[in-house]
Amino acid sequence: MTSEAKNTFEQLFNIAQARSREIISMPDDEILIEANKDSTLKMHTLKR
Amino acid sequence: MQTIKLNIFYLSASLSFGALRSMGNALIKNEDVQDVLSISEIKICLDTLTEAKWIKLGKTANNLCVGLPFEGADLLHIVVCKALEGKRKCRKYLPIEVFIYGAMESLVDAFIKKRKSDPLQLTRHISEENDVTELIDLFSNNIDTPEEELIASQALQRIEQLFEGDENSLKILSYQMDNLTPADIQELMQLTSVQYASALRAIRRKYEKLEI
Repeated sequence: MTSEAKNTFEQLFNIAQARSREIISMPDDEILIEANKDSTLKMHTLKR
Repeated sequence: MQTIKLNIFYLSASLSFGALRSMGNALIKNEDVQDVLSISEIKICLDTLTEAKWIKLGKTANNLCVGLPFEGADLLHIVVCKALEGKRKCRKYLPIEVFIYGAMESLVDAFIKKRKSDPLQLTRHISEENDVTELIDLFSNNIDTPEEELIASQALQRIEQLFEGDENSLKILSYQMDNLTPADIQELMQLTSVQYASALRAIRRKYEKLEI
């Protein structure tokens, strides 16, 4: 793997980490409201 | 996954970033048995995990796998299995979804560090080695291939395209790519905590539109 690619993976991870920590810290009702706006996402996630 | 009922480990509505990080660090290796959940307790916690918390775990698993050769569902499945096998320990005070998320994050981080040609692999955590090996075995055909690197590059390009023209968001993302702390970013951009939180919310909503 090239150092450039390595950097790409780390950058993606850093972005994903920031987004994910926000989500985990969110109030449950806010998550449910957002999920209700996107029923596809909700069903998709629950199936998992 | 299971019938969703009342969650006995209710996560505080406004868990701070710092608190989350310290909780994540509570993934323990040489645990005091008195302080950790037994396998049956972990099973009960998972059985009673609420809909909102499963949604959080599903979303975060998907996020962590953007540009990687495996899907969020697989990552979540592996981590839950490891917890139920007793290979991952959870402190009693730690909300189960924070524990599961922390384990996913740690596994992906270790996976990236362990990749071939990566000098940082020497710094890997020994206790995570088996986990990562298992993950690599599972997706061995897709590891360290040009295709995989291409997928990751394309994912990054799509993120940049998604935020094209939104200078503020691009700046924040760029700082996050460089792993700057939220405090550093706020200082560099001269944003109040409210302005920063608002910018993050906008970024998150847009980011979730990514279909990678």
